[in-house]
Amino acid sequence: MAARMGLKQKYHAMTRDLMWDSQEFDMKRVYPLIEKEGIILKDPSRWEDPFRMAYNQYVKVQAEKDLLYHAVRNAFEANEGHAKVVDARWYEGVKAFAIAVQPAEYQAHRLMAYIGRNIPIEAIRFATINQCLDELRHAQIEIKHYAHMSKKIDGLHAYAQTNENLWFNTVTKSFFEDALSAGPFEALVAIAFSFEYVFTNILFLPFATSAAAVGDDNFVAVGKSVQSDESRHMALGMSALKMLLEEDDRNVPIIQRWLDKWYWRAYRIFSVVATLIDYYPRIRPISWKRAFKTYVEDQVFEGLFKDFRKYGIRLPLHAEDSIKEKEHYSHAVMRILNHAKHVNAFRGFRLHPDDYEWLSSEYPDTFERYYAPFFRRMDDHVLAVATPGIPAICTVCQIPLEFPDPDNPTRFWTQYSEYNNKTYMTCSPGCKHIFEQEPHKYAQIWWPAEAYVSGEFGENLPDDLFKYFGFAPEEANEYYSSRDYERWLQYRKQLGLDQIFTGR
Amino acid sequence: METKAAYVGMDLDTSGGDVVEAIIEAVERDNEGVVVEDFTVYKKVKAPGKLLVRRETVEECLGREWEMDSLQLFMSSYFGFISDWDEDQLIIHWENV
Ligand SMILES: [Fe+2]
Ligand SMILES: [Zn+2]
Repeated sequence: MAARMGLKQKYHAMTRDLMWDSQEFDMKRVYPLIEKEGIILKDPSRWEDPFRMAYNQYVKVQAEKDLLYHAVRNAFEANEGHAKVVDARWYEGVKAFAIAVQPAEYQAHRLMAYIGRNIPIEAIRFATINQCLDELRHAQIEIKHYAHMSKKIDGLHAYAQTNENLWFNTVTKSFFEDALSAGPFEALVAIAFSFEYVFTNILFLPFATSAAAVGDDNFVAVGKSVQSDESRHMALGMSALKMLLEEDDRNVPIIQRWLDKWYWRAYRIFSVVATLIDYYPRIRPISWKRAFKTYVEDQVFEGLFKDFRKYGIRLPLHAEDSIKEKEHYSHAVMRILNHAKHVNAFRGFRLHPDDYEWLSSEYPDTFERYYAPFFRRMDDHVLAVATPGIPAICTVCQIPLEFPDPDNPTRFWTQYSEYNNKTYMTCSPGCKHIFEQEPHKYAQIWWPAEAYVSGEFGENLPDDLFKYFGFAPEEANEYYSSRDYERWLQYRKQLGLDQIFTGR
Repeated sequence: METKAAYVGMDLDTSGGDVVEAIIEAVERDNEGVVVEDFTVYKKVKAPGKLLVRRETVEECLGREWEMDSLQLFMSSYFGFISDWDEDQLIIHWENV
């Protein structure tokens, strides 16, 4: 090629023009799912991915990102970074991230492969191939990160097994299985839009900022490396959604239904992120409440959804509930985690005076009044708040049924639905609505932990339960009374680091 | 209450050092009402309704050549629609303004 091609031509030559129509086979057999969801497409080939990334460029950029991450990790370890963080309870949060987020990345790569295979639109297909590889890369650097963490920290020694069997992990699993068993367009709206566009910002940006504040440069590098792909993922979500809305008016009510469902579904899976922002870091640069306001209320509801009004799209059905819940979310979820900390791979912890102070000042209307008394009960006795056994969970999001009604915070928000002569419980009106749209889907819930307790896998409780989870009872419970904390203090002493952070 | 156009913007990874500083400076020069928020590991740069990044201005601020598509190395996130992104410029905007 003599003349240098511009970005647009290069992208067309190297990606878009690689698609062809099959001559030998009926296209409906090649793409059997394309008409199943009622989505009508007229001329989708005019849609473009604003990133216009060609494959050779993609590989080059991604390889650089990986090298950069591993360099930071090596330096962090060589400098005894783990000993130097402000407060190592932070790592209990990173473990929550390990259990909730890494499987999400892995599942997202499967989902992207499924979407790309089943939607024959060039721009979407190429973006999903890239994203499929991105998600696998994220899953891998995160696993590498945990492999290194597990040299110093409990709870991750049998990572694959814990990931597969821990009761808490069904939250992520059920979300992605729900999307994978939906049609390809619904899956696209679920992941590319609701998960990526609306919520991943809250995960990686404030959490990476917290990591920097507590001194975990290793996690900062993981977070940044992962987040560096997110703009592309967001662009896919935006372009796909706009494309579906503009192709045909009849798509609009279908998309609205999916937005209603997947907004709440994604919002619930991010509940643990609220604790990662407000609780686990001893120094917090931003609260969940403020992060939610910025990333969801301002950027999505006030920005994007205003633009979508012209198609007849309104805010997701339970948007208002999530706005109300922001005053309660992290506290309610941290309470759940403390209730169940004796059977979880990431520990709960006692709050310090500076924690009470920060939480009260960020949440003046709710923390002292509704939540501080609960946490104070742990001041003298760390197991004071543990609930025996394994908690009952929501049929849809699979989180324990302990979310307070934001209009009446001393009462739980638990909802009941009847289906085939059985009662199903959900955590909130949002999850109840999702259940009632497709009760046949959610009624199939099989919760491994419950199966375990009912004796399906063994008799010797709780020992067998821990074997099944892949960690020992000493690896669970409260952080400041744990062997991990003791080890961390010893480690610091060896390095001459005797000062402990007190929040002043 | 007066209704203002919703912001569009980008979250830029501060690992980008002088390049990111130059992008922010260029955005401030080429747009009205720009707000920059510092979150240490990233900076949020936003403008009401529409935000333009021009290669030439970035190069002026940076004092050397710079390619538009390398923006994606540092653009950790954005909000608004990307309506135009070529060798010379990038536009992010909302359509309702
Ligand atoms: Fe992603
Ligand atoms: Zn639920």
